[in-house]
Amino acid sequence: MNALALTPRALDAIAQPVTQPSAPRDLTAESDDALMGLAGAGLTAAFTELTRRYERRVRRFCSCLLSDPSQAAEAAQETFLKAWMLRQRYRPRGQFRELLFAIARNECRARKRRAWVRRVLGLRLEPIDEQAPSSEVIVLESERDARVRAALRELPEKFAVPLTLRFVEGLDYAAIAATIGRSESAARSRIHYGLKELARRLPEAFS
Amino acid sequence: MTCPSAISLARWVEEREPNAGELAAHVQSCQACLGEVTRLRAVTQSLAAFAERVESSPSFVAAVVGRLEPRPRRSMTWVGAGLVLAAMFAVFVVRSSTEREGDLVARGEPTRRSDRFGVTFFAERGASSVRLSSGAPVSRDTGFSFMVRATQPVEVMLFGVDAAGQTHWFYPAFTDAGADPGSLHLTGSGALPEAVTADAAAAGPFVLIALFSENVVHVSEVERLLAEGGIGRLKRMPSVVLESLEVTHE
Repeated sequence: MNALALTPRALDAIAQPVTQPSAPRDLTAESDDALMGLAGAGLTAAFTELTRRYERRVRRFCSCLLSDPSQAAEAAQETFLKAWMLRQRYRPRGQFRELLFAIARNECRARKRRAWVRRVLGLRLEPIDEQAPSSEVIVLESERDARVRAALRELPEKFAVPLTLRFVEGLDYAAIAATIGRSESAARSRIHYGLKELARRLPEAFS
Repeated sequence: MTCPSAISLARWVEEREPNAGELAAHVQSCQACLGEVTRLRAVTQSLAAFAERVESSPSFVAAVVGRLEPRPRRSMTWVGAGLVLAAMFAVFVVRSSTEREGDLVARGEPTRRSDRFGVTFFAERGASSVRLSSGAPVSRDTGFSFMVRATQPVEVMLFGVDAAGQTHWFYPAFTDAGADPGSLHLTGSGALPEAVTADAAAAGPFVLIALFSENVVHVSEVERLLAEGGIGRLKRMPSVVLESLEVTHE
């Protein structure tokens, strides 16, 4: 079992009594690593702050990969719950965001696989509108943008994930590489090929 | 200048290469390339626009936080009843396990070694194999190989679970999302034929697992149990022996 390594800042934070109600902490100023350290030490509020910090991005990421809005919302929730389960094994290397996206990618992949099996076995109980955006999550999406997202979801995952991380989430190559577990050059290559493929799949009159 | 390939245009649009003046000049003068570039830009702008359309959701945060809290403690009455049932179950397990041959019984501890089945995990480094120990660092390209021993016929599965909770299958191979391969039937000891890498494993702890079972087990069953309760849930499978080793993916 590897010991949990923490930065001095996080250790300072843990050293303070976390259950003392009279000592409120400004958790919004803490780094992701420090918050995970605090969560690992038992401070649920630290993980709540992390959830607040990243919920929009994770929900958005899952919405790009899954066509069923309720599945996307559940995948996003599961992502945070799995990150919570990892809190005591987390290593503070400044890559919490990448870890979160990696979990979300795996969660979406598993749900897609299960949906495929259900479809093949004829177990799908209710029709899913492949084009339907979630009214809760997305507002005012144009027909053009909806078409792009639908085409994105149809791409192989090895292209869809880097494209989403790059253009929707605005991550740099290093962060994308860390998320998908590939080199930076591989991440860059997937973005370029994915972009070309995505454009190819859209109607001629798209632009 | 001849028209650049579509991938060159995609790279140019995405990276806005500053020293691609020749390409920029060509695009301005070529209707076909200009159309392709306009199309690529429209795609990237559409994706970027989506980022602004998703709003924060306090109810989502509340739902997640609500699931973080530990479950309420059971009343003492239920605890007492549970203890009585657990004691009865323990008596049943002990009696039934003494009546069967072999040692494929629920063990509760994944790393307790069996006398009849076992595995040694290796990493392929160049032309040699290095026996892995707990906490050993491995790179993304490391090929894992396995030496298994079995003194009687047994089903075996070999896989890893990375820091993000993703399962990576080594044996059986699991390359088709629509398939549900079963465990390998092993009739003796020896090295499995190929070294296998963990595709796109997340950095951090990586647990290598060997599952020995009396009966055929399928990938879907293992993944379902892992999703339900992680490796701890696998430990509670009946009639299996688990061996595991945690290494570190760099």
